[in-house]
Amino acid sequence: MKQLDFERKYQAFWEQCEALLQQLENPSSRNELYQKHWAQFPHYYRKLCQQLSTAQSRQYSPLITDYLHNIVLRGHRYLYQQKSSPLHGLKHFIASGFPVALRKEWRSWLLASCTFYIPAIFMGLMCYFDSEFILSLIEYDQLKSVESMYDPSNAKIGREEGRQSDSDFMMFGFYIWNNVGIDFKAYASGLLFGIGTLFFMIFNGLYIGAVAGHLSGVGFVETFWSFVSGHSALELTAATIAGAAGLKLGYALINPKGFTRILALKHAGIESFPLISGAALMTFLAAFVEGFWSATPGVAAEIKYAVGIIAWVAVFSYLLLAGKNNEA
Amino acid sequence: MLQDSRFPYETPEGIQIFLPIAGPMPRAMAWLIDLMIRGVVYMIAAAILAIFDKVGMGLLLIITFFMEWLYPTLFEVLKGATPGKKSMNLHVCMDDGTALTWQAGLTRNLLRTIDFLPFFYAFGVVATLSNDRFKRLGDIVANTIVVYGHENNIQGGVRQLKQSTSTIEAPTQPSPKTSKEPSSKADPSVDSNVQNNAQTKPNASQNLITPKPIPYPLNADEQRTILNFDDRLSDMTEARQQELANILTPIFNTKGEEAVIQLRQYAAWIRGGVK
Repeated sequence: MKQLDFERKYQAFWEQCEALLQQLENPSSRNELYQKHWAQFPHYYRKLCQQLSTAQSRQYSPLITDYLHNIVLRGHRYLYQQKSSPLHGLKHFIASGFPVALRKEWRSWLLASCTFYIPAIFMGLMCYFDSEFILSLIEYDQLKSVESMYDPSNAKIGREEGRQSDSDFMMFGFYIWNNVGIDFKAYASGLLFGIGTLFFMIFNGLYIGAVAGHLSGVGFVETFWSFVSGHSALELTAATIAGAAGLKLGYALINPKGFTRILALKHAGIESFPLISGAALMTFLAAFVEGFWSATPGVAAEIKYAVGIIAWVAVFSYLLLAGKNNEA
Repeated sequence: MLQDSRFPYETPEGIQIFLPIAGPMPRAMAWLIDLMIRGVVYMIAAAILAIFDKVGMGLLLIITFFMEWLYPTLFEVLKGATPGKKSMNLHVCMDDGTALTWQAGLTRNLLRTIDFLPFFYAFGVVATLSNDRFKRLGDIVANTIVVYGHENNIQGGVRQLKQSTSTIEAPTQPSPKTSKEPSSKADPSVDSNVQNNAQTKPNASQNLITPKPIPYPLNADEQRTILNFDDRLSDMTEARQQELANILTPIFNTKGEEAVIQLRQYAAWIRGGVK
């Protein structure tokens, strides 16, 4: 068949395929053509592929082969896309996907937790017994502002002096921007052979430990611990999980286990994805608690401690037990 | 080896498709455009939210968070490209040319942090230049590539093809199908160029094209070259058409306009009719 006969024979079919593709790609423009033909699309697509290879093997002119190639490319893109609606998968992800994935990576999680809590405890003890030791880590001005936030004479603990309850929402925004951002950075910097993640884990551990130890040492025990107890379970655990995800990336580079490093990275990217997503969700939740509950004045410290303990138990039962049935 | 930015991928149907990979320059431009768009959004948001004092401040921080981390992901996964990329005719897809998954979209944009290090995408640029598909680190982990958007190309292609078939019926009319082309978003300048070129073609010669057998046996490549020439006539000035046709003067013994017409006749013969 000469090229022109070929064109004449299939022109109408190609135009129809194009129109159908256009409607497949833009759900808003769908009409009766879509209703009638969408189920036939894979069949049409295979026909197009066959016509493209025919055109190529018969050395038809580039105009026609390029034209067919473009339709095929669009068809391929549409037909083989991996449907992944985040909302559809979210329920399953929370119910079992996330905790199961985390338990699978328990080694990374344990390592991240150690690099976070060991410096925190060390620094906490040092700062508890020596009220000047914290200055080895932070500036004097910064220390003053931290101290003023948890001073029992402050109207609203956990906030800088003078800030009242309308700052709840502002702080909520701040926690999302800052804390989730730190999770993401800790994860991404795992790509630097895990060193970046280690830095984030150790530094944040040192900082949090220093503040906790110092404030307990100078006698702001109740104001500080009642403030942090509510959100600590979610926030600290999420930080260690983000760290675990980052370490996973770094470890893939250090020990690719027989794969090429690029392939190992791809696997690590897929395997660490549930971890960082879950960590981000947990940190979001922590921001809610921290913004709207932790600083609530007039709630007895005992109640806040109780909520804190319940939160720790709940978070760990969820992470360690949820989705057990689905685990093979 | 031929240097080619079109990366082949073999589909399950057993045919090869070519993904036109985009290099660092257009991507940097797209990033700059996105940066400006984000800057404008921040400024507008800040101006409006300033009225609401601390609640506004909180909202602004949340907006900042979304713009920093999720703006590219949302656009790339849902639309295939951020506004900046779209304006540079780029889009992001998986290695196999299919649409981005959420996992890939998020991963490549979270890892942007590292590509940005130590300053101004230095890691990203080095990574981009050290692999054959211009992948930055985020692309390597997420399994993604940035390619030229084929939407505009394809509509250009359709227009040409439709025009070529419509000239069978009415050689000198600009194709009515062309003007009805649904893609109002396609570059209008391309549109008018094609039409103008079509109109500047000598009308007389249009009617003189009758298929004419080639006096010598030509191999497939040579035939394809002639078809190529014929397909691209509308992109060339007449002088250039003749200059190219004159290359074959020692073989076909024709010159100037005559040579062009003769080549078109040969092309018509190969094709099996007047284009």
